[in-house]
Amino acid sequence: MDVNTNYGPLTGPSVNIRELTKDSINFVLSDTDLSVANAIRRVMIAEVATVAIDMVEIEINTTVLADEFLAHRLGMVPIDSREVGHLRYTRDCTCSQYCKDCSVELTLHVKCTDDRTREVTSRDLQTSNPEFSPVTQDKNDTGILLVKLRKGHEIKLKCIAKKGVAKEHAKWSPVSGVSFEYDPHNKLRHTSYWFEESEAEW
Amino acid sequence: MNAPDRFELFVIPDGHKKVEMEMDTRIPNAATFKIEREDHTLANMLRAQLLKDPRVLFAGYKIPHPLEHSFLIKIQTTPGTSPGQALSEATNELIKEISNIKTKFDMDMIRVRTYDEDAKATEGGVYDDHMAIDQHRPPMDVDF
Repeated sequence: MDVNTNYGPLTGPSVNIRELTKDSINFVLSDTDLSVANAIRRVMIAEVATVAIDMVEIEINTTVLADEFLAHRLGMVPIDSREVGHLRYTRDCTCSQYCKDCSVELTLHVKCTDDRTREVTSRDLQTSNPEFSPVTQDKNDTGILLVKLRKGHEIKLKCIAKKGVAKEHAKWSPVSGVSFEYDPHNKLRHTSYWFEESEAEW
Repeated sequence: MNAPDRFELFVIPDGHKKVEMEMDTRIPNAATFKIEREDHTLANMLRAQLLKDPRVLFAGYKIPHPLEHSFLIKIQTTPGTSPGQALSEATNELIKEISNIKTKFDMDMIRVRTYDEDAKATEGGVYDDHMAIDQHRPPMDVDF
């Protein structure tokens, strides 16, 4: 028994992209249930796999920031995850601990030697796998500021980036914001607007 | 200290099954399914899809406790069908619908990319807003 209700002209749901840029998209999804649209929104936020730094092995840290503070900041650095399909989840991998198939190694080693403040950014991270490197907007982008060093401060660490989903930690969320709107003229009466009833107020 | 691991939200521990069914003793053709490690994302979609089926008399879900990551979905069907059958068909329909959406989306992406290339080739003057792709289409009247 076919229970597929195609409201549209025989073809079911339809997608119409209104705007598309390098990092945003605005599209209209029609002829499908609200729960499906909401599920897509929820999955975009929480269940799309990405790569982010998960473990940080700190060798030298003479900066003003604590180890865990730095590690947290490193975790939030966005990493280009277009090839995430090639990577396995560490829990599914046959190796013990981690390996090339389930993780990416990034290193950071900066020492401030001159009198000026040295700003350590995500550009200073060296990746072992060029498919997964920290995101940069363009050639002029200095990168995400991680820590500022004074003369004599040094930072040396090794990061292990793994595949994960935002359900586990928000650092793995691929989106910065998802919003959706339906029925802008409230024809379905899913909401009721307040109106002034007291004559005195008017 | 007491916080459970975040992966408990989606990793099923050994021994537990993803889906478990319990037939309702008092109501005929009714069953409650317990689905582990899933949330409103799946539950609401399944429930809505089940309600579209004319053989389904009752379909509702609940998450008994927000700290336990599973949901219960209760389905009652007409005498000709079993609730398991209804759920299975609803799941297949959803898979079809979502893959349909994916195809439509990919097709529209191709349309936008080729349109964008055409527009770039014939770039106008001050009036050309490169962000508004559907400049040349009549304005949309979203009529519910």
